[in-house]
Amino acid sequence: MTGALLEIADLRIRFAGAGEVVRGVGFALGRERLGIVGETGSGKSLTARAILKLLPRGAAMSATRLAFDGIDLLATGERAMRALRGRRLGLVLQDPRFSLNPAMSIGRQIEEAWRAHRAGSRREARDKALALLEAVRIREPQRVHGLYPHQVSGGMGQRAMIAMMLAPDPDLLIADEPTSALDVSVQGQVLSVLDEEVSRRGMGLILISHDLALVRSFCDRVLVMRQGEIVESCAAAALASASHPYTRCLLAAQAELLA
Amino acid sequence: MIAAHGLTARFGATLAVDGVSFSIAAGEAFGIVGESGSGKSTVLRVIAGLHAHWSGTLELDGVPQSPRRLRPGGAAQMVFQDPYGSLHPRHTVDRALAEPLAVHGIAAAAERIADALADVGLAREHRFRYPHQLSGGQRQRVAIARALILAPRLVLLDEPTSALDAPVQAEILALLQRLRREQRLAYVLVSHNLAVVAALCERVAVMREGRFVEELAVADLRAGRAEEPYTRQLIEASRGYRRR
Repeated sequence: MTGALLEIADLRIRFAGAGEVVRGVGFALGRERLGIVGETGSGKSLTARAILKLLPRGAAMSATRLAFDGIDLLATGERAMRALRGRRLGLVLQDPRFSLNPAMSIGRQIEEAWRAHRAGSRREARDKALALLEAVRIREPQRVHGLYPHQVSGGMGQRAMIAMMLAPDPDLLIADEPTSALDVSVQGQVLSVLDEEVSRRGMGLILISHDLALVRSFCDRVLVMRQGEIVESCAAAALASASHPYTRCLLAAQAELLA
Repeated sequence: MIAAHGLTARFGATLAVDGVSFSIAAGEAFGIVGESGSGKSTVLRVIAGLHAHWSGTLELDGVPQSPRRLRPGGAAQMVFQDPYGSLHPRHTVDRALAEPLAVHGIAAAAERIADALADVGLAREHRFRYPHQLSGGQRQRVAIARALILAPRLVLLDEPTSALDAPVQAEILALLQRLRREQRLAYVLVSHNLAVVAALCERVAVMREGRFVEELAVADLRAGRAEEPYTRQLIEASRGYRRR
């Protein structure tokens, strides 16, 4: 699997006392959209965090291969990981209220994300932040630049979060339930911003969600996880003919509405 | 069975339910769908007598209720989302089922418990187990048995499947469908999941920011025949992302 953006083989994560919660996960990712779908406790979020080596305290991880763009992450120290995170690997979490800094204006946070990884003047950082706010379809970038996270809606906060993650031009974006804390009226907008930017920049994307309908319609390829294992791996378009009983059950639950 | 008019409920200064009206006939299954914070669970809690800060009119079985004196009595029972949280960890299944019978002074408890367990598809050996010895689905079956043991005609269901694994969700939905048919129950089901509401109900109210924005037949919901833009957004979101 040379040339893959991300390669994972036999990834295992265990917690003392709880046993193994990710049990031998492996996949390769190109500059494509990969959806990981599963229920609470399936290990999908931990798998994503393992890529960034941002696991909760008490978690122990092992893998036979964990490589990003040919860089062996298993042999990468914390200092070098920090340089990769943000710059080349972005993470968008569920709730912007918890992932934005409440004490800093939105514009400053985007500027800081850019300046942390790019050399440039304040002026350039500001121009870049305004351009990014516009890219995520914020109508009055000048005004929103100066607002604090509590002054904006959830949908706008999440778009600002995406702008911040896109600021250093990462190669891979990991989005963990990016719309499930948002009102349904803005979910579509946030998704289409994500959709456009990922296509335009030719990035890799890992979309993690419990929502099969979302993942299959948004992604090129889908992994179904259950109890720490990948039970299904197929093209999104081939999901309807998936064979695993668990996948069939998820499909049936969704079909209920259209029956 | 239930007639509510201008039902309003508060949490302190927050208006959680803002003038909601609906009526449910005996044996009918009515769904309330909405996002978190829409007030849907509060409606259920008012009907169950678990939330006293409400105003408006509410009749249960033709009897006007007041916030001070709400008596759903044996006629209405409730099943909660999380069977882990709604069963006492140190009480056996037998004890969980015996308690409502004792409270209402009902005799022949042993037989009724055995029948209630059989009704929800649990075996005799489950009767003296503790909640931690049961799976999530079995626990939710116990919670359903506990609700049904007083032979209610109305069951209030608050996200009854959303804490469960997908295959178990399907089993519990099938169980709820069968019990409703066999025992001629009326349901009020609250869920964020349109598919769950569609599986169980005939009629659904869409709730947002404390109000019902639309009430429609589940057949119309399935066919995507909704009047309100918000309802259409919910339906569209449940079908996934559409690239423009």
